[in-house]
Amino acid sequence: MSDVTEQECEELAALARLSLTGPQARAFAKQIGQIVGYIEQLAEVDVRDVPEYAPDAPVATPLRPDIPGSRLTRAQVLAQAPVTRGEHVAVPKFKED
Amino acid sequence: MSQVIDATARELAAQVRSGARSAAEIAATFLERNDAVASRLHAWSRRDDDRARHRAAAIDAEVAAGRDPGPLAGVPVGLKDNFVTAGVETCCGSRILAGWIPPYDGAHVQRLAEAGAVSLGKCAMDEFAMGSSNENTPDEPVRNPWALDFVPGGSSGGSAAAVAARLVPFALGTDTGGSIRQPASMCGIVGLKPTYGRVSRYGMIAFGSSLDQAGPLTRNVRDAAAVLGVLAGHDPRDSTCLDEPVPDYVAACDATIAGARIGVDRSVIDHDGLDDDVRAAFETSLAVLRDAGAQIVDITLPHFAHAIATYYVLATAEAASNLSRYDGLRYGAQQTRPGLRQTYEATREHGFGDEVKRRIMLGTFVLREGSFARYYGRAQKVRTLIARDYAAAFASCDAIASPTSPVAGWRIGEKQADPMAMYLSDVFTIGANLAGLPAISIPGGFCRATETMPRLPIGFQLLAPRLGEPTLLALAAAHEAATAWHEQMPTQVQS
Repeated sequence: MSDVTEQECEELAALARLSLTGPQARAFAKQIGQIVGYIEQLAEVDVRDVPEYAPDAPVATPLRPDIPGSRLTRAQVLAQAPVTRGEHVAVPKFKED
Repeated sequence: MSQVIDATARELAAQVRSGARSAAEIAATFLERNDAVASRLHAWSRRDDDRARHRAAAIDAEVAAGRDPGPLAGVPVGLKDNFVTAGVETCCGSRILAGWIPPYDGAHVQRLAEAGAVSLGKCAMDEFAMGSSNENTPDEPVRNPWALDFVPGGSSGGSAAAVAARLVPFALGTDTGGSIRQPASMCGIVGLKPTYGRVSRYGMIAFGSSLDQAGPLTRNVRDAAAVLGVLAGHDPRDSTCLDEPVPDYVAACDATIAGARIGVDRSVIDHDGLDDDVRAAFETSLAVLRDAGAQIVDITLPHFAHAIATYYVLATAEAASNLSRYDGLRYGAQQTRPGLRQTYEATREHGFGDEVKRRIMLGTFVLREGSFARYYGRAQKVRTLIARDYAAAFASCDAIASPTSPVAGWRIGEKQADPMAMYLSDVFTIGANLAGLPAISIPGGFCRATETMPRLPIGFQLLAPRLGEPTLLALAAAHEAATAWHEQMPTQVQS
């Protein structure tokens, strides 16, 4: 068990653009503390001179011919968006006046 | 009806291609079967009966015109709801994608269509494929067709339950830490996770991009081989997809296993949480392979004990990153608020369930400044050690065997309040994802019915080196030829 406080939980939620209620923050603090306590075991592993993981056979990524591929139309893109205005995706106000 | 629903996918395709049976009759028979029993299981997130009938009629028209619709001609399939399907709502088990109708087909849907398969709809799943029980869902949890108050496993639980219950001859699932193999084990069917990169990830909604692979769930090994043959192959739209030849996987099932060496790490099998019936079934499966000509050899996987911790650092970090795209602006559901930040937060708060939030927060924790080297960087190094352990073990064996799941199953709700207990149930499956290796779960017996446990299936898992799917399939087919576990019909859907 590792200590993760409700306040830390709320900070994580803010970083992840989640808003938590008080009871949720309490429950998550306890559960995440338990999980973090478990993953602390990795500190016991000797990783000196060990590189970070890379697949055995990296995939070759050759250059592709420079030709246009298929793409979505404006109507298709707009049809995905929950809120649109004219031919635009509508976004709530993000800057103070 | 039983002539159709008990037939293998390959038998049905052969009948359609030869004109012996129409795709329309097959589709109608499976739709009737679904009408009769599907409501007991909640295996579908959405059925698409009309589209299936039209598609089957189109297959029949191709046959009538003298064209070959392909190796899965007229075979019904269920698609886990994280496969992007043009014109069909695709929610990935989440409220945040409620109402999303994709404008394109993913690689899997395209390849199955080119092979002549007929989709009956989208299978229920744990939200964003995060879970081992199919309980992380805004909908009804999927039921295990062997005992309706037990979980079917997860996260491809809807796919596994549908195949076991003969609602479809095969289904597609995805596997990030065991999500094809563990539900296959709990439902008594075959589940194959291919080598990382063997199958394209284009159009498969991302969870942990360095771990995710799509694969088949079937009732027998040769059907899994046939479906893998359709799915596998290079796709320039996924830069991690391997440009390697695709062998004849069905033919690989006929290869001899005489002299094949099966590695077993006995310290892994002595795992504390391993159920006695699962251990006994595992030893029986080893004996089956030994009798078929294989040798059992001891191996060691020194870092096996750290696999779960490594996985839950890396998978949650990748998930936190992948799921940051769900902002409620460009697609999916939006909770509109006066400002942008409040809209993001309200959309994600309302749209994600608790397990997804927990993993996003854990991923954010391990990635944030100050913790990155301690958790994420270190886990990436331990992942290297785990992959090296497998490489070293494969110097002395052709495949590695273990149980798929430490227990046969658990009751719905039993582990829901304890995420850590749920994570520990992934102990045997995670290694294949961390090392990018192919692995298969095949039926390997049943637990004994007791006062507290019903008779539930038990899975037997085999791992092979990278691109060693032919080896897995040969061993699995030999095991299947000597056993009859895969022929049993789940008790709760027999009529």
